[in-house]
Amino acid sequence: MIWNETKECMSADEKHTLQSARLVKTVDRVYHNVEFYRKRMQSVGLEPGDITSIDDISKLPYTTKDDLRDNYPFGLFAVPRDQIVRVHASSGTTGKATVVGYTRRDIDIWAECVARCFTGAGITSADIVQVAYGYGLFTGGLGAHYGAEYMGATVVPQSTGNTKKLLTMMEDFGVTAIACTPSYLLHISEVIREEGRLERLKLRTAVCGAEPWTEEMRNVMESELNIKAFDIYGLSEIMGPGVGCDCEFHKGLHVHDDHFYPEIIDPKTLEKVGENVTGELVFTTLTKEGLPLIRYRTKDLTSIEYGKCECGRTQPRIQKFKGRSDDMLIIRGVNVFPSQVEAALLEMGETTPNYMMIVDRVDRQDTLEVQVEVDERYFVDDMRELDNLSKKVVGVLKQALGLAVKVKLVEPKTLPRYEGKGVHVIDNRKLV
Amino acid sequence: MAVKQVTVFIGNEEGRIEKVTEILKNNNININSLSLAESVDFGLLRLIVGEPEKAKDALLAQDLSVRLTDVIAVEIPNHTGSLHSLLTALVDCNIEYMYVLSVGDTASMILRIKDLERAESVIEKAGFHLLGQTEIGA
Repeated sequence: MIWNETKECMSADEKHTLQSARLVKTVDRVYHNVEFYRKRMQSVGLEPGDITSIDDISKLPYTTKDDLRDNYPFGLFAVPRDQIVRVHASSGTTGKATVVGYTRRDIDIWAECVARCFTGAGITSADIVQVAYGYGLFTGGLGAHYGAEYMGATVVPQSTGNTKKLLTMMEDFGVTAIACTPSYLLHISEVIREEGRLERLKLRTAVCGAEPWTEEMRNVMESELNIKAFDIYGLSEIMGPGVGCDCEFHKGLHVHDDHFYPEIIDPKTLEKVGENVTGELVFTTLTKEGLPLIRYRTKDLTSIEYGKCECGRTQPRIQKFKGRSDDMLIIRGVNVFPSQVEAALLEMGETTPNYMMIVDRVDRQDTLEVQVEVDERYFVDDMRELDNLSKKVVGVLKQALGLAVKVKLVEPKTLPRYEGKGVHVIDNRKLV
Repeated sequence: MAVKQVTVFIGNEEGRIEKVTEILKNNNININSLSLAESVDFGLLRLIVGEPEKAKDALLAQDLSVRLTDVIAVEIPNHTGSLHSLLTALVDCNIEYMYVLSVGDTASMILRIKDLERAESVIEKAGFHLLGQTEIGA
């Protein structure tokens, strides 16, 4: 099923015209409303008039997460603050959040994009959709919620954290679709099997996102839960979940390119690369009012396939993610930068700033262990004090990362030292 | 009168205690007694040696975390009830940990008590013999 056939199945010519008109308007708006963009364009001798069609997009400079951080919190907003009806925020590399803002129209477009994704997954207004993403500053919960509500489905705003309660409601309400992270769904599936509840459930669809997952995980979910599972993609900077989603043919994530224009670039030369060549994914928002972003570098490494999909959609399809061009990790759907750990340890100052992060998947849930060196200066001959230190580090890291962490105190000078940027992560999860 | 105990932070990895004993062996330091306290991820190795300062320097030189802690060494007769008599005398003192030291043919207890001076006077009043660093020998 297709929610908006006019837009999702547009011909190449129609699309070119629409994207061109929208890009011209977006560039004009950011040039006049956002000092950052005006200066950045002037620095390369560009004026809004130089952009006359979507083909001119490669003339425009890139935008990065650092630019968002440097303009924290509202510096890149392109409308007066009173037109912003909502903000979301995600973690930044140094502990400072990346703040995004939406106008009422942005929220409506976001809801429609999510509705398109859900429709592609076979969800209709007759479904009962349980949203088991975290609600709050994270875009997952409210994004999926508004999309499901927009299409007229019955929404159960479950959020995360209480799997027993979730299952009780899933059973009692006759929930037919769930939106959550893939690792959480695998965990839910395990509990369902342990408790032998599958027979009593009506679940038939899952739309999973916020972290990369594999075809093998899809096979496990589908066979264990007897459902169809779909991949939804998004990032808060561009909008949130719903930037793209796969269809029943699973040929990649269909990007709603009437709103978000994707490009793939070589992260080193910054030159555009061709179809099916792996590089860094870059997005330009074509309709965003609150926080329009021009050629935003996502740091996600992937390739794009063009051409009509068997489902009838003509949108470009993002292929399997092959990693990141920076060191960001996604753990239980939360973006984590190793530098956040370092900053938190330095601020606390009771250990050395040396650390090693061990990421793993245990019982289908992501785990993060942080190994921290005991500082010779703070070492005490007291087991309780050391246990307290360990607990304190747990608290400090939980606060900094927004994620439960296991802390292991290790001997001084046993963790590897690096000059410059070192390797601080061992990721034992098998994702690609 | 207190004896210096050498405490070493031990990560929960294979071969870490052996590393300590190797350093002590290479520096010709004899271990008279030890105890190992464990947590989930790490342990504290507590050692009574003849030359605690020398042991500390040798271990520090190999990047280990080391502390010297004052503990009490007290000789008790090797017969039934003697430890009970000692602990009865110390009933008002909070013993954080203790372990056994063997010097020659007698058994001695190593006790960690925060209020060291009071504990020592209690012990002496009760008729026990406190050991000094020199009596532990090298």
